[in-house]
Amino acid sequence: MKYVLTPVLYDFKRSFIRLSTLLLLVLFIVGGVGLSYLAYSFFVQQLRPVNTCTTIVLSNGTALVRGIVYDVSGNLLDKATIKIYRVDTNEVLFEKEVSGNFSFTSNDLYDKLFKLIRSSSQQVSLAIRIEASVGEVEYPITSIDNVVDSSYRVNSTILTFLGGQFVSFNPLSSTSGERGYSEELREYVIRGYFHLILLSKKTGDARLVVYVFNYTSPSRVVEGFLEYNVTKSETVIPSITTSIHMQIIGSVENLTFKPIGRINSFARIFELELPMDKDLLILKLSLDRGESNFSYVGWINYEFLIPVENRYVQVLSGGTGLSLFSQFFPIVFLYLAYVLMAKPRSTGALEFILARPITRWDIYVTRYFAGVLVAFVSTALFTLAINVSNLVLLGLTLDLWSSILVYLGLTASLIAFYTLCYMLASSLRSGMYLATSIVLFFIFSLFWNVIVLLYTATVGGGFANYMENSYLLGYFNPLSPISYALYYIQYNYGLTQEIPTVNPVATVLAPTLWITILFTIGYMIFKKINITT
Amino acid sequence: MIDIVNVSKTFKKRIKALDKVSFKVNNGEIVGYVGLNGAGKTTTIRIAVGVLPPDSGDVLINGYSITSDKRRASKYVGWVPEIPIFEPDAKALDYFVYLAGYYGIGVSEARSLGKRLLEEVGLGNALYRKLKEYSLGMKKRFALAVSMINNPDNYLFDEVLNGLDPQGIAFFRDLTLKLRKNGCSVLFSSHILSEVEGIADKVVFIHRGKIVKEMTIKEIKSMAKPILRIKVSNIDDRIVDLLGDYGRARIEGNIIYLEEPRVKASTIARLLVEEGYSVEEFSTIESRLEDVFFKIIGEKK
Repeated sequence: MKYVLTPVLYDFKRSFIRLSTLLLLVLFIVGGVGLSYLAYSFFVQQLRPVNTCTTIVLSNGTALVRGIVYDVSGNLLDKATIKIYRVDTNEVLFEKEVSGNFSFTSNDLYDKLFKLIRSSSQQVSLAIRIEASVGEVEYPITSIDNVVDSSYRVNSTILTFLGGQFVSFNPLSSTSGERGYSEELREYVIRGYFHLILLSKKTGDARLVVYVFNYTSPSRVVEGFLEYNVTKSETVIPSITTSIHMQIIGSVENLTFKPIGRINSFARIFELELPMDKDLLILKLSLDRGESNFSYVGWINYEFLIPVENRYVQVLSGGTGLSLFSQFFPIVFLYLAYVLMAKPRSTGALEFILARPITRWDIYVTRYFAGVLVAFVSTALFTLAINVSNLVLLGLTLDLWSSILVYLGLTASLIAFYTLCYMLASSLRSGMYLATSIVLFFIFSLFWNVIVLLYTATVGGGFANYMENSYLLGYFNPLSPISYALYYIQYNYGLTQEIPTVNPVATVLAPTLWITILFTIGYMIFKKINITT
Repeated sequence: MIDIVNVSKTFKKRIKALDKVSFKVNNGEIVGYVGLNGAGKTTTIRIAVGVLPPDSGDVLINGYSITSDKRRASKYVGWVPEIPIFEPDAKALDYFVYLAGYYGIGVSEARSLGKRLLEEVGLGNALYRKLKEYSLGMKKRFALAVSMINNPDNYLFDEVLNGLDPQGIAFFRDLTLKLRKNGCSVLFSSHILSEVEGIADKVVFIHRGKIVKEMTIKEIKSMAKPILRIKVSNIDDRIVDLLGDYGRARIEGNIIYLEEPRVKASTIARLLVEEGYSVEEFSTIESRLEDVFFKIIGEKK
């Protein structure tokens, strides 16, 4: 079929590189990106794209700044700019480019902060702003602590910025309370935080960000060992009257802990795999010097933590940009079937082409595949543009399989609708074709929900059955494959319940039948129809 | 060689456009295909190039059936329609390249071939113009250039001179003769017999979907005998009987016309004088090919 290739590419080129196709594609991409940005704003409100735990220790004329910057999934950021500024005046006191774990000293920062803290009669309003490629966030200061020596003289001042859902480690009962400040333990009074990032509820993949530092001797690196236990919360917290904290601390001795890893730096990120049939994560931090005396415990109930991927899957797969494209881009294919088949057939232009060493089958197939290629390429460009923009704006995209599913769903929808239009175009004259195909577009794209609603009202079952009926009737709509693709993505991530009318075989079979049956009927008509004027 | 074999075609189940049409166009031969408008010329040609399926019969192009072996048969035939219709928004050279693709010719080769052929047919200065901007003559030239992509040895020109300026007419006439010289077979349809007079070796007459006559130009010309116009002052009915033995005689006023005279004009003149008629004027009117045409198809003008 060598001779058909060039005409297919030519037809594809003039179908794709035409003002209407490109303009609409650009419009939908811009619209999609714009809507992604809106989703991003919503996303940012709920799940900050950049997190940090930063401490500034003001001591002996120097500010020791230590911290960690990482993205929403717990990946260390290669490059970020941190700015310490006064919230009341918006004055930036300090600015520095950092990456991942950072630690540096600054005399200049000391001067500014020391002056500010000491001179201010009231609470100093400070904040940290982090600017990175994945986003820009601000966090207010969490605490300002003065560390005093035995004669209650201020040794140092520690400013802490916790940007994320950090949880504190607590000393186990044996070292609890103010004993941390006692003489013998002074150099091992530890302050520690952790941030659990649940990546996927399906796999239980999680990241654990741990930040630990010696409160009384900040320049020392804390070394220790981190372990964990996951359990059902009710086994550890049976009572609602006793404090949860006390119940957990009380149960630690009876629990078996599994190792996570060594703590040999002020901040570390660990990978965890959490069983989703449990809900309570208990962390045990044991310091090297001493034994149980220097143990800390932290805990979090992760049952209701919203996994990172769910958030963006919900935003991305249910994205309005996607539905905008799937609902309105078929217009392009309605028009392409007109340009490639209805119009040249009506004007008689196909006749001259048919005088070449080809058959009607060749013309029919060539022009059909030109449109199919447009569907593949335009959908690829659209999904790519949306994914790239999501990556730039959110730092996240759908996983590969979900992206492929979206791509296939969109392409199948467009091809099925194009086949319907092409079939009509090969049997109807231009005017009649346009009228019929526009009506069908309105039915399948815009009024389909009304049809489902009417069907639901007719067969009964109430509004509860609407979703079931929607997917059931979807098999009779050429534009529906994308809705099944989205259903499977959301179902896979636990974002939707199982709907009995969605059948995996039927979801593949329906568009296949739409395409093959309409294609065949179209050819049967085109084979016999008079293409002369 | 183009061999049209028993081709029949009916439109809308009742209009018989062609009824067992058969004739051949041999290599190195130009066949004029003449008939009134609606006689079935274009239908025959459309079937011959494979764009219209016949109800029955077949057309063989160099022995290949246009109905069952179209891909091969179409390689050997070029077609210039009466009113070529292309996709109007396409640019000439682009469209040429597109159509050349159906012959298995790659883009770069097709572009250089397109430039050469379009130049040859006189469209060298309109390569990048949209086809909707072309005049009828230019469209026909474009169709010719496309027909020549594969350098076929059979051509079907459907009313090709219709609507052309004198330059265009001369171009197509010269080209047709050149094709014959190169051994190609050319079917040249027209509704005007005189259009094919100077170029055709043979004329096939079609009327109401049927082939009514197949004649050489020499035979046609021999049919075009002169008419004697004789003005007689004492004309009467007896004169018709008298001249009836020498041709077809008819009286209009005091003038008698003798069509297809079988004897010399001087013999007629002498006979009339001997029979006592007073001959005032005696002249010869040359018969036109069109008269022959109408005579052949048995229709009045």
